[in-house]
Amino acid sequence: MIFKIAIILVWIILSFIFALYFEWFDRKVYARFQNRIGPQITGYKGILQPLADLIKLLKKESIFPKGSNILFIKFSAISSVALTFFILLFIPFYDFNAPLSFNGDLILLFGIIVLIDFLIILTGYFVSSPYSNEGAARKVGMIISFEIPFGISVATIIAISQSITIRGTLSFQLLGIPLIIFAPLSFIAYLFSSMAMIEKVPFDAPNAESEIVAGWSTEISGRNLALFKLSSNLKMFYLASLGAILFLGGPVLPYFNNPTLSFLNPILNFIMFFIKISIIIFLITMIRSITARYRIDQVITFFWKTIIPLAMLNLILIIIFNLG
Amino acid sequence: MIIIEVILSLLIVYLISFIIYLFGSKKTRYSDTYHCGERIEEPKVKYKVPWIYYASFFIAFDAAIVLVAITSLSLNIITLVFLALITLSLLFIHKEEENDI
Repeated sequence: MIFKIAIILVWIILSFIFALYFEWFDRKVYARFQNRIGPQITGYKGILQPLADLIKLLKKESIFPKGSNILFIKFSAISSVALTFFILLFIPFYDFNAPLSFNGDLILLFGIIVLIDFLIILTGYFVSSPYSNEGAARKVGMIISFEIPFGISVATIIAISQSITIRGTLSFQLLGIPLIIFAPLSFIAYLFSSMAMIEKVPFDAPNAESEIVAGWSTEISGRNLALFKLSSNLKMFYLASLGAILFLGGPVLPYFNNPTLSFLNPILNFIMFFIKISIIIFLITMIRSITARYRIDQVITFFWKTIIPLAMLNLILIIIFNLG
Repeated sequence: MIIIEVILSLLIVYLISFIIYLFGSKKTRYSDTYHCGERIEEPKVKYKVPWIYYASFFIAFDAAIVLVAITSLSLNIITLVFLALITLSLLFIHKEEENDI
């Protein structure tokens, strides 16, 4: 049991470090797309900037508008980080082994990631500010849009690999073919749904600066805001990791545990996984660099009229193929 | 055993998140609601009739996706028919919505 606790702690620390690293990566790439340099002062090439920002926010005073439900805001801030850490415990970084794994874990992960968004909505409603309420209302519209295609893409992977566990999908990909070959449309749906989930442009209507200040987080400050920001970074890392596992083979492709490289295998597997996560985050950053914000009704229309039919088509084709 | 592991993990992640929270400043202040230039009123709940379609489709789909995900493990034609039906239903939402939203 002590060994298990130690593993969980190591996973949490690694997740924390990688989440901040990929936040830096995202900012740096975004800056380069805009012909800027990006963070460069704190640490080598500004790599410690996300950590500096987190500490700065943590050390700031918390200001609440009168009439807000402060207890719930605090609970929500802590829970959003805790639940994101929790779902990251299901992600294997260097082989099939993650601290937590059981039959049906993919369905559980799908549920928890949406639960975090519900916490954000409730936070927006419990802050007595019109901007927060408007942000929360927009977030509801976003959930109605992205949850279905996200679920369909996961269901497609389940249908192909015939397994509802992360371990099962990885085992299937040991045959040598990443699942993106069978489910390219689902990958597109997954990518756009992930962007909507972490509120990246063009799906940043819930915190659109030029319209509603900072949306649901307008009146959240200090350590509560720090935790929400950390949760957002962790979520981006989680979604990119899950995408890399479900569609690109995670740590098991293009090769897995080469017998001639015994002790180097975990490191090489991890590097493979790291590169795949970087590719997904690069794609997300690229899309947000070249697009402008959608209005909330455009987001709903885009997902329901384009992304859902695409994802559904892929799922139907897979099921017909399986039946054949 | 797995239930104990899940509960233990949840306790640990909550504990760590709480420690990060405690690491932050405890200073708290209450203020009036932020308003930029002019004071704005609390927004009324926006309601548009077409949104009801999206809400009902969302509920139907949300339940359907989990079912499809699980039933797709055992290959059966019912899953396919079910999927075809909900895909066809999308065509109706297209017609209803084109000029409304």
